Amino acid sequence: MRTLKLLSAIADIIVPHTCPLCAVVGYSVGFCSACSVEFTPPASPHCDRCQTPFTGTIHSKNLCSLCIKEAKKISRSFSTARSACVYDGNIRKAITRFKYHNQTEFSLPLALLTQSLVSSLANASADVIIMPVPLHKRRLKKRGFNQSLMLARRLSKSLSLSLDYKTLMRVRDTTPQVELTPKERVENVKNAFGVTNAAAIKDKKIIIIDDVYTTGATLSESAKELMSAGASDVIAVTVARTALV
Amino acid sequence: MDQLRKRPIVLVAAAVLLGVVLESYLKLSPTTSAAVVLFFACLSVYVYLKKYHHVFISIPLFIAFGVLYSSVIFSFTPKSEHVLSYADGEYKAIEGVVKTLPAVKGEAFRFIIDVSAIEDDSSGFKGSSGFVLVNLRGVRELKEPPRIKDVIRVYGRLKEVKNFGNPGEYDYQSSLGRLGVFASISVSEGRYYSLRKGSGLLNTLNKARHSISARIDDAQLKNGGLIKALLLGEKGAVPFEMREGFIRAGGAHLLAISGLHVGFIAWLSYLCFSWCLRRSTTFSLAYDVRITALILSLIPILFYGAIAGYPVSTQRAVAMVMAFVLSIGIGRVRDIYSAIGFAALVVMIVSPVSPWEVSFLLSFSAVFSIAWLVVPLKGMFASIDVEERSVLSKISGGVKVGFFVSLAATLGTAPITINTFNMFTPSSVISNIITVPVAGLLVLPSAFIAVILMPVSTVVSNALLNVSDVFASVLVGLMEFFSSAEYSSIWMLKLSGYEVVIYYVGFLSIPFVLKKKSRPIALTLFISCVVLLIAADIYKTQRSIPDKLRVTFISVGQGDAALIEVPPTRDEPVKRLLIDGGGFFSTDFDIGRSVVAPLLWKKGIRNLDYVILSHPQIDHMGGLAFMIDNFDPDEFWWSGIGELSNEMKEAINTSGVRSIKKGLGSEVTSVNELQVEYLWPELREGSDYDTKEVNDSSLVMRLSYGEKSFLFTGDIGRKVEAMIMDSVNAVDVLKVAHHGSATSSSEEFIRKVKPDYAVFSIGYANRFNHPNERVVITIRSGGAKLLYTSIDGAITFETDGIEIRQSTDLTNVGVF
Repeated sequence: MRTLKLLSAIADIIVPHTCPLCAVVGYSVGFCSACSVEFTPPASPHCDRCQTPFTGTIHSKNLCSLCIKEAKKISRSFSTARSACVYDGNIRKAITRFKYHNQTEFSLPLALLTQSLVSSLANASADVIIMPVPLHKRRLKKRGFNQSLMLARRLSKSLSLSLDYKTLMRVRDTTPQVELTPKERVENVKNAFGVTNAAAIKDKKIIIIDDVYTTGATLSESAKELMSAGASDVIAVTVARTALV
Repeated sequence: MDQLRKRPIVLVAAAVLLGVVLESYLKLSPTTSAAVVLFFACLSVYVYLKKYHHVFISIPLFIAFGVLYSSVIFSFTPKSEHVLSYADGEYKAIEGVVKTLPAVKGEAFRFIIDVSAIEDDSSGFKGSSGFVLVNLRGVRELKEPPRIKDVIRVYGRLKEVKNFGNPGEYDYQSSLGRLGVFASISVSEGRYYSLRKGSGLLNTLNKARHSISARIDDAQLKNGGLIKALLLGEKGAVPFEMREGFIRAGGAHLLAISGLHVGFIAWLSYLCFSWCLRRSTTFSLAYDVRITALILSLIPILFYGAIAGYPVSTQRAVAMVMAFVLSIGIGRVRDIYSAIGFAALVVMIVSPVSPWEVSFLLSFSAVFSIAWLVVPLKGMFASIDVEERSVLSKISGGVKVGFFVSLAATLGTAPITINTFNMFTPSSVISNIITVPVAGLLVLPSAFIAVILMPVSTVVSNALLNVSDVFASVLVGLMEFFSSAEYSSIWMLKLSGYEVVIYYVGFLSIPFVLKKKSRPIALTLFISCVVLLIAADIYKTQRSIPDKLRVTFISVGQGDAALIEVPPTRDEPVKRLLIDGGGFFSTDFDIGRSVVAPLLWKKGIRNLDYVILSHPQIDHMGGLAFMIDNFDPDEFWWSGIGELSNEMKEAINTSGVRSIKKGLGSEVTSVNELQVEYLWPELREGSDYDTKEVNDSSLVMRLSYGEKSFLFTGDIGRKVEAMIMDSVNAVDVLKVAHHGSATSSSEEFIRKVKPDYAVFSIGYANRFNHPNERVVITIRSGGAKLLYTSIDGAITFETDGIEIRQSTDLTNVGVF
């Protein structure tokens, strides 16, 4: 531990902390204050389950119409979905550069942004498992990294929660969701996931991590798989959520 | 300041650099500097305990560390008599261990050995110590060239390393002295014996380098030398002319293994490792493929650097890649300034003398100026958006960035290229946009892959080498095009320390000029810097105009060269004459380019009026072609007897200089108030003159200014001395004929000429044993003051026609 501390002190000397968005050199880990003030927090009031903002003055303890219709068409298998901020401006830039330009230096600041959210949702419970939304083997081979896994790994380390990236698998190589309409998305991810080892998640509370929440289809589908395999609760946490839908 | 505080490594590197530089002046012993370090360490701890936390408090500690480190590295305790005490220019046999990578320099290998024994006379080998620079001739003939750690014995002339001793020349003596090398030995073919083969990693890598080099030779490529230089950093394998072309087109940096090469290897091996690792899903999930691949790709880079022998530019590039890998590895943003600071620290730790090397200055100023200028320029003129872009806009963006990079590097390195090569190369801004991709994307990759395939298949690797050769031809063609273009390179006067500072102040202000907020102040600063630099240049040219006649015998080694500066009169401007230009047989060293021209530039002289050749022999003619080409003389005088070299003929034809034959019977020429009389040779029509005795057809001239006169005798022998006896009378300064050879300077002639000063234009420890002892005695007994270019360096006489004053110019010699 001592050596690790010494090494990290040396690393701090050689590589200063730098804001990955604006390249300003500073002391703090993560985004610089000038860049972070531009992050928009999710609007309130919002749906208690999926955090979709309400237009009127409805209290946040209520559910949105989609979540109420859960049993019917669109399934909302997660119990709660929360995002750290709205997917716009700087955060959009950051996630784009992280995902599509392989700038993995964004993983730490983005994880930090989500950390308090995950920590409060985990609620100090020991049986919580952090899980990334998996990529299909082929996609992983192509990209070389799974951005959700990178975030999940950082979160599990900093919050000392166990990480499981093996149980939930993407069994079908689906079209990237960004290219599809909300309706197509639900169809697209249908039965895309599978659980390899149900015993590992039996009666466990699971927090699934992803970068962006758009319609919730991907997260919902993976949650469904986990719930039917025996998980006690599935919470979805993303860095950002789109203002769409 | 705040930026520095946030980048501690830059601060540390700067402090250590300061310490290393300080130590070169202070020359403290390791014990003293250790005490200094201890003092500052205690002080820092004390201040820290007092709860005063600030990065700046540790600066003195790091400065002291720099002092200590460099004093430890250079502390030298001789175990036995230092080899320098034997360096008398005579033949010696020495034994020792090869210390540095034997680098090709023209037809020779050049390396340093750590001497263990010396054979001084017939009494056998005695123990000795110290470093000696070995110049081993016969690169092609050597079956097994020496490698690092080999124990060898060589036999040749052991000399003290000395500068020529002219103002403005490269300080070769100090640059070797800093490495602890004070003596050199010149070894001809067959005088080298390998006593014991070395072992170890360096030796093996050296072997690999030799075999790659041999395989490239075997492939019989047109540009084999260039490919070797690009691949292995074997700069000396590039023909002299081609190297000059690269310098003029601003492409010399391609010949040093730097970021381009190291970056390419890193990229290629990263792709390979990453591709392999991605095959395993388990691995990709459990570990970070990109970071693992990056760390793995350091291995080939480190090996490649070792094969290249880790010159400073390679050390820098490898260290910067390491810093970048570290930052990606710990998930941080790459910071170029910190990487530069880290690299500087690594380079100084590898060798604290590096900061004096030109390559250190060039390499670091180039990367720094790219970092300093490219980002603000990109922000101004090229929008780099993170959103997806079309291929076309990516290419045009790439070209733009390429232009900025090349502009920044050209401007940032300009003072260094000016002070090293006396040259500014505006063409490099454009040429590098094209030549760097050709070298980096075509020549290098094909050659690299050829090397990788060498152990697998000779046929395939040779085929690839030939492909690389074709690309190399394209590169050479481009360089020729750019170097021959009008204003591709401009000869410059060397900049003084003040000018360099002013230049960099102006340079550093550019990003602030681009920013709206700081524009008014920055622009004022920038413009005043430009004005000051122009004013300084004009002043230097003005200062070069003499008010007295100045005659400078330039130290050109074994050869003759003299510059005559005639003060202006009311109607005529200043006039300058150059009599002979020195020269060596080696094709790898142009004394005009490297010694004569820099002396003139140092004096602020950019053009000559008359170039004079005493007789067409290489030690008089060698350096003149360059002078005719680049100093725009009006007239070229010679006797017309003998055969001019091809370079001279070409220079005369292309420069449009008027070639005029002078000799006995030619009318006296008045150059302002200087009278030039021609005493010899007899001019005859046709070629019936006995040209075998070229020496005896030397142009003999008497230069008179007021009451004072100078006699230039070329290489005439006693026979001619006797023939011109009647037309000479006493002179003030005599250039002793034929470098003081025994066959010249008869007693009768010396008695008749009766010089006050006699100048011997000779090389230090030359192989002809000039000057002859009898000649020295003859002239000394005549009462003249004897001067030797070999000892005194450049020798200057200044006269107003009544008084004469003599001075020597040993500015560099002995300064370490």
